[in-house]
Amino acid sequence: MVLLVTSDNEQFQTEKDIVERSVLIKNMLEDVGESDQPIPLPNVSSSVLKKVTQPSTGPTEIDVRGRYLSTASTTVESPSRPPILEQSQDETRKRTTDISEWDQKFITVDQEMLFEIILAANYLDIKSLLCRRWLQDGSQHDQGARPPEEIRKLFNIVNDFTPEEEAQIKKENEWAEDR
Amino acid sequence: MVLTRRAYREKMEVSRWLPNELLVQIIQHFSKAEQATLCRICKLFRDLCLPVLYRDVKIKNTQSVHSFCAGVIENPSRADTVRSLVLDLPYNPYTRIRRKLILTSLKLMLRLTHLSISPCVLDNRHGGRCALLEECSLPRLISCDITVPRWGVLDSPLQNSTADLVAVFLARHPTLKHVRIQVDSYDSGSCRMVTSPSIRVSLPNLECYEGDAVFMPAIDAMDLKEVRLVWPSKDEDIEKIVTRISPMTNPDVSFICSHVYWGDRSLDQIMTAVSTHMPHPRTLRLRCFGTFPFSTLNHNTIRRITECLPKFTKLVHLAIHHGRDYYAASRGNKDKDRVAVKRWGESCPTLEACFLNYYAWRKVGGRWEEYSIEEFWILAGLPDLTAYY
Repeated sequence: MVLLVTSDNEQFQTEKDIVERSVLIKNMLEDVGESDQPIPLPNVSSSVLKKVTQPSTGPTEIDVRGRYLSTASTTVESPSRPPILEQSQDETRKRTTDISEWDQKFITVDQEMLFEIILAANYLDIKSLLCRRWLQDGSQHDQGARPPEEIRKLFNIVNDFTPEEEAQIKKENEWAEDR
Repeated sequence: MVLTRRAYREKMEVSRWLPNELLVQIIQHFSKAEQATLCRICKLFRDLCLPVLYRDVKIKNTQSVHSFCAGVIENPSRADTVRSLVLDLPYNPYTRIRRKLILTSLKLMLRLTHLSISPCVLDNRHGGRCALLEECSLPRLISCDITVPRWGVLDSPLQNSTADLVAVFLARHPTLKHVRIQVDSYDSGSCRMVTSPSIRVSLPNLECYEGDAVFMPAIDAMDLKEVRLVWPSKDEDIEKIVTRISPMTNPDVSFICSHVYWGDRSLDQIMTAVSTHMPHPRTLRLRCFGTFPFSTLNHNTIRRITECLPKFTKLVHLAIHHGRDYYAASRGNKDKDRVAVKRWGESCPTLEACFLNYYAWRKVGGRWEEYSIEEFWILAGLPDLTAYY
């Protein structure tokens, strides 16, 4: 077990396997060696650390080089799937093949928590949490991102394109729709 | 976390409160279609997404290729960001491929490091020139994968010219480290990519060659670390070609040697030639492609392999697969395979692990124990188990 101390001075006893998903902590443990000393995480709050260190029940990567993934695991991209925004029951049901129960619990967070998780994942160097689905919509756009206007609305982004510019960039990148 | 709380209070404009480098990291995890959508959100997202979107390009339909190439020609700055281009177009007799458009855009991609082209892009059956091979020059190309249309090889008047064009293309790219040349044919054992005798391609940086074995003598390399050769079904030049390749390898450097062949007779010739003229591979892989799916090695072939193995000086991993379907319910005769592996281990003291037909074994304390095929493949440095080579 490893003792972690968060920015709000809470202490967490966490399994080594779990905390080693963080490259930062893994490196620290390698540098320090076996020790009872707590590891300070001044940039991570206790609420975020709870989310980040929840053990995944989902499938894990078989091979770090991406080889030999069996048919059953071709959709696996990382040990844990990244967060997306809160979904309705119906929407969630449609994605059951893609998101484990643990992942569904993990991803039902508000935007503030989502941002904190992303920043913490960056600080702790947890690649699997820096993944893609935070902008995805599980209902109508099952395989793709939400439409731009929805993403803008969701994150209060101002559209600084003229309609012509937006049409032009859409046309230029149409090749990328090829699947 | 003060930063994000402020962001939350000020309505969470993501692009203002997450650093750009973090946004780029997240964008990299999106699919190409999703990245294209993100480009349309705002100018900041466009500037962050476009380099990621254009870095590795893989296109599978003709219309998209035309759209991509036209876009690159219209905005040449996009060409500078392309590092890898894979044109994987299916053959469609009703679709016209605008090869000049492709060539014009390729000429702008001066930082391209990987190029993969499918046979349709090179098709010159209708009397046209194969301008892409004749004119394209990419100063930073490290890896290329060219699949030559079979009609260019099978039609005897074109036999040399197509192979020569590929050779001349390679010769313009001495930066290449990884080359894959193959013929687009299900029965590729009958196709031969033979260059004219005068053709020589100097590739001083070449580390790995994959593909047609009879094309290999045209290449001059200095420090090959891996060859994955496909031998034609009718060829008497195995010894000559292996003798030609041997000086291109460094006996002191770990070397991987893979062969795809078409019958027991070729296996005999390959084992004899490699053990005699190039006895220093660390990994040797032999894959038969001309047998029935579940066939196994015959007694004579096993004996022949046993006779050749003592000549190998550094062989650690040996992989021989005769059947085609690795996940078949019927998996050959395991006990018989184990006996063969044990015999090979006695013939070759350096041998530590062996894959035969459907099972892998390794030597532990002098005994051969079964172990994971996937682990064997990783340790042997071989590509995907199901890969052709």
